[in-house]
Amino acid sequence: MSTMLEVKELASGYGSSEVISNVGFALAKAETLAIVGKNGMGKTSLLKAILGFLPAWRGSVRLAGKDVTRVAPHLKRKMGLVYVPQEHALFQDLSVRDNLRLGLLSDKDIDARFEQVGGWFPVLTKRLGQRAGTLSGGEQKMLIVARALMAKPGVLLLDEVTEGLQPSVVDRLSEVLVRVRREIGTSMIVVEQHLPFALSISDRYLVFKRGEIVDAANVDTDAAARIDEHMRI
Amino acid sequence: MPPLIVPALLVALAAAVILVAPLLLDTYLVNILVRACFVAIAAITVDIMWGYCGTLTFGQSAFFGIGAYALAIMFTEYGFGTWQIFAAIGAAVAVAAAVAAFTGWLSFYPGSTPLYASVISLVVPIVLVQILYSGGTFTGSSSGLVGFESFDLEIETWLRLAGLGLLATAVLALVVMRSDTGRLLSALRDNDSRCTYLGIDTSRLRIVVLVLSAIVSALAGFFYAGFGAVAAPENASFAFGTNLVIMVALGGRGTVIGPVIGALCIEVASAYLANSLPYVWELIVGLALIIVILVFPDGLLGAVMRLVKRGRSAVATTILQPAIAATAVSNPDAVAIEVRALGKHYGSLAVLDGVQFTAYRGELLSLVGPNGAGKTTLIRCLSDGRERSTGNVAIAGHDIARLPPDRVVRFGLGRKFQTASVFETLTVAECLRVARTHADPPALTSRSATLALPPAAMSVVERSGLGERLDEEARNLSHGLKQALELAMVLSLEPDVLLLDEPTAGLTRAERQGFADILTTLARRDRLCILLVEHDLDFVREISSRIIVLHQGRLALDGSVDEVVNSELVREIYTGQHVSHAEVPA
Amino acid sequence: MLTVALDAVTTAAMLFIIAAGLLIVFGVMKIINFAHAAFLTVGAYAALVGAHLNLPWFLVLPLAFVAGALCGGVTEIVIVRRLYKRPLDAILATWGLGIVLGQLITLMFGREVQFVQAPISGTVHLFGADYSAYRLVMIVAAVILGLLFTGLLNGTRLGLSTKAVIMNEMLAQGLGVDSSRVRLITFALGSGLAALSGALITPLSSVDPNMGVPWLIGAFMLVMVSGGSLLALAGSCAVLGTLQVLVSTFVNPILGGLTIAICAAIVLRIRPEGFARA
Repeated sequence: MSTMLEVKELASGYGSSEVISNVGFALAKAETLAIVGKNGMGKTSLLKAILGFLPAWRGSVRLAGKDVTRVAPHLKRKMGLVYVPQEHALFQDLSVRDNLRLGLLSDKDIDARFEQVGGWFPVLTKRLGQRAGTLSGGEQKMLIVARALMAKPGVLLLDEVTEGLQPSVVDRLSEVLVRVRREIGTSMIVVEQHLPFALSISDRYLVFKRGEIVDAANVDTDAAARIDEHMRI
Repeated sequence: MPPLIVPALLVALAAAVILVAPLLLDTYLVNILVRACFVAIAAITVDIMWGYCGTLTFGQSAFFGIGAYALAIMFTEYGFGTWQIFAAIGAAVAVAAAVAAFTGWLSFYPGSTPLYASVISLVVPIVLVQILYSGGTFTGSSSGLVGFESFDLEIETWLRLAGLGLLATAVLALVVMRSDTGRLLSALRDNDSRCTYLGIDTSRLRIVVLVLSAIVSALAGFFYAGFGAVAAPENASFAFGTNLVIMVALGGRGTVIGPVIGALCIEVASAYLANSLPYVWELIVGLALIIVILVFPDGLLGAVMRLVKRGRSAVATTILQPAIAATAVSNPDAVAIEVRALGKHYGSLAVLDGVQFTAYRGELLSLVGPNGAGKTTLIRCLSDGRERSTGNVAIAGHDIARLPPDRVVRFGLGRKFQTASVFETLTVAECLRVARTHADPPALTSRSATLALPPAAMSVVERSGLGERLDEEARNLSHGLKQALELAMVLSLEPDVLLLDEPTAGLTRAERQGFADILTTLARRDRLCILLVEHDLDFVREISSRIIVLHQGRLALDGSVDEVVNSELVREIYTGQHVSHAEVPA
Repeated sequence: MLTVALDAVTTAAMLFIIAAGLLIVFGVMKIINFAHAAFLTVGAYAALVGAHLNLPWFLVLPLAFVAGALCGGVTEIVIVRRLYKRPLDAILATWGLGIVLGQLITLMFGREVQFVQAPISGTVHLFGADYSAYRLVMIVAAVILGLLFTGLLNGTRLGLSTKAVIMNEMLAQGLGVDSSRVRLITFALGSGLAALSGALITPLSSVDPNMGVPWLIGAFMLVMVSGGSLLALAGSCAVLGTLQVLVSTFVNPILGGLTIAICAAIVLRIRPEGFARA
């Protein structure tokens, strides 16, 4: 299998404090990797460093074989790396349709993409003209994920998509993500606190602690228990 | 050698140069220098407003013009004489102060932006010039007032007086700006909202500074017109106002000396070059302005000073001492926060709805909930009376009504922001001293060598290691130390209620543990009521005496640590670690 | 009476044309471009040169726009780009640029006041009054400009990207929007508009190297009051422009000249965020 994303010895931080150190992993095509760990452990910072919103202090990021460590975020998006941020992820004052349009770089294939994404999230197709800020919390989250999927992403980075969501919405999201992977072969990184959700859709997991990887393994029946050990200490 | 000797020698030298210079220079240059000295005084006032207080002002020319016209109108209407001089000075000061007070009221109010203040400062000279144009013979309209009798002094005497006036103004400005009061003004520039949350009425302070600088500028204009026996609309114009700003920008904002040099050089050079190279000269000034702003934001003198400073390190001079202890807590279990039916709406969107709780002294209350639950909004509604849409909030028994934060803080509230909010260009000791503004009013002409802190603030300073770095600039501190500094600043207010927004975010494990110890001591020993917004549930569990859960703007649960941690409701809405605990067999 | 009403409408239209370029720059970048006055003057001189070369009017306008847009593009790259985090310094640096351009124009064209003939001269008989035809053209121009901009902002991909950058720049970047390109285009567009407005108003005012400055203050105040919204700008121009004409006609022309500045200052004191969402 070909490697979609490869992170090597990556370190980054804010000001003078290093918040992620020596992080390395590889993500294969159509593979899903869960990154778990408690809050404030640098998981979001890791995603930002991969995207280039935080400068890499050391190490490298390769996307589909190309070194993209110093490539600007908007250019990485053009290479198929799509990010779903945890906070302020919607243009509240734009319509649902315009939010979805922004998921694509041009309006060229827009109808075909509306069709596929609408199939995954039927609820959104009824609200295309509505202002995004007026959607319910769960619908907003679906819109954020739907917008990311408009692009048929090669690599999708999901930052705490389940936070604050009702269990039914979480189930809907995991169904869609599994279908996406099957239908368009997207590789995913799922940063999560919600372990059952993360493990149900992932092939492998990394445990993140104070900016470093402390455990990495395949998801199997004992995974939850092993992770729980790490979270407690 | 006592530290004051070198500056005193420099001042004496400058005075000597001023006294001797008129004998050596030709009349034309002396003539120009007299005007330049008065312009330089106005430039100093721009520097104080902009370089120290952070308000870019184009309006100091208006006050200069008011001074000039006060003299011109008085001498034209009533002739030259002793009472006329004093009446004119009185009028200059009074009108300038009144206009400045009104301008200040327009420009500075809670929530006003620096850009808005600049806008107002633009309008003032424009309005004034139009009034002068329409004043007929009283103001001389577009040609101004000329031909009145004025002070009859030798031109050499004028230069000596103007030079000494400039020297005195510069020395006074430097002394005040380097005093504790001056550092307070710089704190205003660095972080206005932090000042507000330290109980300082920043709008009033800015208005006072504007009025004082307007008076100085008016006096400069007064003598400028007295020297030339002319008052022209150009003296009050927006163009002159921007020229003053250019002088300050080129010379070096926030240095007093830089703007003086800038003003003298530009005035003299333009007098000589404006005739030989009329347009090219202005072109050069424009280019220089662009280059200085882009390359040396703190001006030419600022750039030089940075080079000189590079080798020197701060010398520790500040001595810590305990403040006289406040009166002992009278009722250690009194109600500290009372919230009734609190709501916050943005249009139809309700961010908070019907939130209601009471907190007592000695409690360590944690506020948890998923992102977007309204935690930070709640903190804001507790500390700023203008934020909430509905309901009531009382802090230590005082209804906060619609009061701005600086008034709420005086009821005994302290708020620490999420990202460390300190005064970046001030030293640690200066930051703490600004926080003590109400307890120890700052000295106007000197810097204190000692720093008196209440016990709680003192213990944070000592435990965090800030005590060894009192004379270092805050911007050089690590993230953790900045957080500790802000906490110490807030505790310097001796609050009854402490609001903390995610104080441990980004801290190391050791720092976090230190924080936990400090907070527990504050609640137990000093009987503070602490309300803490926190993400890290372990930290919350470890230190809280009670937990409030906020979900989608409503208060979902209010109970003891055990009640909340074991609650089904919390598992459902707060999909943190506990869900995995519950659903995944260990 | 009718003349006063027409004066009010045409004044509002002129204000709108001049302030629109300043508004889009402020809306996207939160920066006040004090070189706007100089770009307006550049446009006016482009019209002057065009008139001397006997170029047809429909060629002069795009020429002025291109001249302004080029100046703006270079300005963004060389100066403004470095000052996004220092908005007050950006005011000063663009003011410095204004001085430089003003002096360059003086060196090239001299200091004297010059005039350009209106392409449409004479008067139109309207509702029983004779009125300058070219002033009426201003109304048409303002409407076309307003519609073009609304269309650009709401109907094109560039407009969508621009709105995204205004609302949340980091999110927009993550979605592949090149925000520095959006800013460059916006600044060039705003500057081009300044020059276009300069070319449009030349037949109604005289041309001299400092002609832009009096306009700048009014436009600046209108932009602050409208808080970045094109519709609010149209409204502010209509209300304050009318007030200005009324005060000038019935009270005193000098006071009339101050109407916009004073009203705007007071409005902003009461409602600091302007009327973007009113």
